Parts: sequence; C-alpha cells; structure tokens
Amino acid sequence: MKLKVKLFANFREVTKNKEVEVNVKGNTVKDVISSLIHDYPKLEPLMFTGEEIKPYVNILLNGKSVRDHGGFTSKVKEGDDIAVFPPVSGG
Amino acid sequence: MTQKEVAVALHDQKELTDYDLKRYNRQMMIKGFGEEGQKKLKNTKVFVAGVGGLGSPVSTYLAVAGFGRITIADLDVVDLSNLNRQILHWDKDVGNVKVKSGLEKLTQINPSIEVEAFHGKIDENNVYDLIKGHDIIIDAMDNFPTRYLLNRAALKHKIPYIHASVWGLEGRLTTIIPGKTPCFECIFPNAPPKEVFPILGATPGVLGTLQVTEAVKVVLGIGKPVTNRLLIYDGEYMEFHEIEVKKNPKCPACGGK
Repeated sequence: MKLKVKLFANFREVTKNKEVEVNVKGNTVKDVISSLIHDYPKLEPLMFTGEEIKPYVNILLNGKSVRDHGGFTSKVKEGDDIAVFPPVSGG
Repeated sequence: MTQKEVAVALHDQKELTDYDLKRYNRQMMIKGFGEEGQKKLKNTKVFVAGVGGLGSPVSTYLAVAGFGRITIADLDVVDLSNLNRQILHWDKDVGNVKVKSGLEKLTQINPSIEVEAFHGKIDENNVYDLIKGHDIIIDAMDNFPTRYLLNRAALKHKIPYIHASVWGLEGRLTTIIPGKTPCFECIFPNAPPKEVFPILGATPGVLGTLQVTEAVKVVLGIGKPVTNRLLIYDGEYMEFHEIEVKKNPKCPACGGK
C-alpha cells in the first residue's frame, strides 16, 4: 500500500520535501513509520530511541494524534493522511 | 465554549483619557471593540515570559495596543546573534540585560502604559508569585522546562496562557484556558531536547503577532480563540495546518480537568 506522509521541522531536513510517498509493508501506523525509516534511514536517530518511537514525536492519522486515538498499532488504509512532526521549542 | 466564558475577569478599572480615545481610535472601530474594549485592555495586566524572538513582537504589539500593564521577564543579556530576530534589541544593546533594553524601547513606543521588568530565571520557587495578579500569560520562552512551570502557574491561578514556539520557517500556536481546554502538558507531555535552532526573524514575527491577536480576543471575548486546536504555521510552503488537541485524563499537571 502506498501512503503519503507529511513531515515538519528537522524531519523535513532529511526528506527535503514536505510530503513523501511511502511503500508501506503492513497496515499499522508503526508499519508506516518503519517503512518511512527504510526509505530515509537518517530519520531513525531523530524518531527512535532503540526500538521505541521517541515520546515527543507527534504522529497524526487523518489530523488526529495517534497518542489520543488508538496508539501506534492503529490500522491505516489507502488514502489515509499521516503527518509526523516534532514539537519545536524556539522562542 | 462561548466567548463570554473566556473573557477575562477584570479588576481595578481605569478610565480612558482623551489621549487614549485618539491614540486607539482605529482599533476601537473593530467590531466588538469600542471604548469598552479599549478600557478592558487598559485594565489588563499581561505577563510576557521572555523578551527574545517572540517576546519582542509580542511586547511591542501589546504596548501599542494599549494593554495597560505589561511585565517582561528574561534572564539573558543581548548577544549580537540575537539581532536577526529580537527586534526590541539593537546593536547598542549588545551585552546589556534584555529586560532593560526591552523596558527602554517599550516605554518610548508607548509612554502611557506601565511596564515592569523581572531580570532573572523563572523557576519552581518563584513562578507562582511572579505570575500572580496577571490576567494573561504569553509564552515567549525558548525551552520546554520553563513552559511546564508557567503552565503549572497558569493552572493554579486560572490564567489564560497563550503558547507559541518557532523553528526555522515554522511555528506552533495554541491558547489554553485553564479548566476548559487541554493544558500545555496535555498537548506536549514530553519535551524535545534543547537545541540551537535555525530561525528567521519573520517567523517569531508571525507567531508573536498571532499571540497578541489571541490575547486581545481573550480579553475582549471576541472571535474564536485557537483553543482545543494546535495551529501549525509552515512558512516554507506558506500553509497553515490545524490539529485537534485533547485533554489527557492522566495529565500530571491538570489531571485532564
């Protein structure tokens, strides 16, 4: 399944694009992120600590935070909209 | 939430002068503003946490809008590398305390308001006293630990808290009304690492002026503040995105209340 993933801030520095198409192996949010890292390995240290997605990394499935709605095992389907962004701290 | 509910309770009422009526004439023409609205601003005390990239446009636009009492707080001194964005500070101020530089400019840009300065670090011992007595908190900080402290103080004293943060050509904005909306810690339960971040001066210019717009709306009870939503400004592609944010029932700061 092919899904489009939107990226922000320093994640975008890696992909050079606000949106990338990812060939997803699997059907969960976590699978989307794993497939994204497969295509852009430089994202891994930014998004993961060991096997875990860093706690401050925000992932949105169709505009809603997966933390509030179903977690990383939430199912995704063709046409879903995924966005990944870090909080930014600057002032 | 109705607009009346988010309108800030106001105390000691100073009347508008002839000078005020002339100075603020153009904004009093705005729907829902009028003399009554201007009087509310005159009698509102705002706490601006940080006079850097965000705090410069924030305190400047608060001052010219006629917010009657403004407190600026910062621990830093002006560095030459600040000047691409921190427009309250000029070349002559390099090496000087930021709140002193800020106070000097703000009292000149609007001599009819009161500006107070706190030079020092906002910490867990002083935050509750520093914030007490203010009607609005504007988050112009550059780090998460201090934002968490300000959020706790905002919750304790039930003071609206207007958050923004910036990175490069991007920014985030949300308005927090204690007891009604998710708190800062509900939205950001985990802090990103502190970093020396890339930044264009115009980015905090955008976000800072949005924060002042929110402050005016919250005080006057007009429009619809950016509550229960996080606004994401993407200057690189010139897009505004919005995401829904929710209270976290397990939030260590507000308990989801």
